[in-house]
Amino acid sequence: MSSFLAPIRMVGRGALQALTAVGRAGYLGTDAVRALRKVDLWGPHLVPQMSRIGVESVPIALFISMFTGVVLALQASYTLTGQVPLYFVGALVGKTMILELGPVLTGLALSGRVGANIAAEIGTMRVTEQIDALETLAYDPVAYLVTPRVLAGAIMFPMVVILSIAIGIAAGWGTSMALLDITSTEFIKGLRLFFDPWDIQFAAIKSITFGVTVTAVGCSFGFHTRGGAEGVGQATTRAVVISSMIILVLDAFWAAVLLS
Amino acid sequence: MREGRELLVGFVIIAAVTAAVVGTLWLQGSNFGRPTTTVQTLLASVGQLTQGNAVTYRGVRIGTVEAIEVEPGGASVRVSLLLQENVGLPDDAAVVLGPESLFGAWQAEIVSRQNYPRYPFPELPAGTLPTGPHAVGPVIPGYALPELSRLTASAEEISLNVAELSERFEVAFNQETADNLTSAITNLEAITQEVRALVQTQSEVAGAIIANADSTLIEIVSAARAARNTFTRVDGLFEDTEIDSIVANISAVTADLALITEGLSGEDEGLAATLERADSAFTRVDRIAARIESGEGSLGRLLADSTLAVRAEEVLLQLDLLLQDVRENPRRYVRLSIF
Repeated sequence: MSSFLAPIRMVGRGALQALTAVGRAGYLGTDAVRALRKVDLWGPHLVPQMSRIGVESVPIALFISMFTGVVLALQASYTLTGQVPLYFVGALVGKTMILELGPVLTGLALSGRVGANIAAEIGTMRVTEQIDALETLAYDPVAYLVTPRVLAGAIMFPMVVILSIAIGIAAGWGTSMALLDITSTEFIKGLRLFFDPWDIQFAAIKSITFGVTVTAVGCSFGFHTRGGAEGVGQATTRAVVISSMIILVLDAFWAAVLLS
Repeated sequence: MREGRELLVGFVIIAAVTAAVVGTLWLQGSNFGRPTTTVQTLLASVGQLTQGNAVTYRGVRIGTVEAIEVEPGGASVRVSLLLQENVGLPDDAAVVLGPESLFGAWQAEIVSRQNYPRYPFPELPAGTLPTGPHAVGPVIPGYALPELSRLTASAEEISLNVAELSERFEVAFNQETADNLTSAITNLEAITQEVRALVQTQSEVAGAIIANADSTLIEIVSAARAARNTFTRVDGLFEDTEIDSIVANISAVTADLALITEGLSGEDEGLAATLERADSAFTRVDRIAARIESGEGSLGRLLADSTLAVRAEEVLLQLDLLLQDVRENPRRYVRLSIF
């Protein structure tokens, strides 16, 4: 009997855990918003978090975007040769980097770097009872730990994404001139062909939500870590996986809402 | 340490914002402070033109489409073009909207109207002024070329017709048709040779016929002249009314004959008796003539003896003299007295 019910129990347990995580994240988000009033608590930590989340993430984001731009240009040229004028390489590189690959690849990369970092750091503080110590000292742990990280993510993710888009387009431009029979004028012509300023706003909106998602999920899983080092590891892994999934879901959501 | 971190954060934020703003402006084709002017154009429609599309003159990009607005009455569309200020436009400038390429993007090309006489540019009323927030430069007419979708629709219809025609031709033109066509061509060649020989023969015959026809024609011409003279004379006769009088006379004679005929028919019964009386009269006349011829009687002697005639002539002369004397001297012979 118990072996027959075990799968059902497993499904039910997973659903309850997911709902519990969502509920905890909701409470945590509400507390983080309320903590915005406590500027003296989160204010001093905002710039350091912006540096850790944003500035220190720029190299990896630019590295990913640069090679993405190179590959985009080469694949676009391979696809369009003989059928479509090659200046469309510029249009394809620009549109793809701005609308999709810039925000999403940067978001996924930072979910691994930033989300894991936040989950591990806060999870370690939880299992080592540092958060309990903060509460004992009458510090609001949410205002002290969560709010500056989420704010830093919301502010710095768009910056990193915009820089990565610029680098990706520049890499595609350079690749087109160096490796393909496309002149700079042709690439720019294609780049401007279908450009719409709304595309930049769309990328910025997406990247803000990605930043909030990555940091909030990392904070949530770290804040509710249980157990010792193993729990910290599990929380870190789950934070990366869940934030990556939410990024992809948000990507589709914003495309459906803002581009349709 | 803290200042260095803040510096890095600030640098990243400024770099990102600058990249976003400058990149957006650059990709939009902004002039970055260069002097510009605005030209407005009025068109019936703008096709696929959108804000930010290129404006070219002689193939060179000189600006962008700044605004597209439907006129208040809805009769036309007013498009504002942001152009480089140092570009001189022709006096009869007009705007032609059309696809920049076959792949979607449109552009506004500034042209001279005299180079495109067939384009139906709208005639703008004199004194048409620019309106709206971009009211700076002149207002020029414009024309939007048909959209590619319309052309492709027409091409698709044509291709469908051609395909249908091809199918019919393919059905009609099979191997049997080809063989028949080959034999027909062969037959046609033989027929052509025969026709050529026939034509050569007939041309000679036709030459002779034409020569005869010439001589015949000459005779016909002379006959026609004679006939014309005859007809002229006949016309003269008719004009002289002699024929009319002759016809009238004939009519009268005919009427008389009719009367005679009627009389004869009425007296047909008495004709026999008359003939009998005439016959007896002729018999007596014959007898009298025989007696006269034999010299019997006064008439016979008169005919047979000229003395009587001479004496009669003398008597007549004396009688004539007597009558003449009576006329001249009537009192010699006539005496009247009452008492």
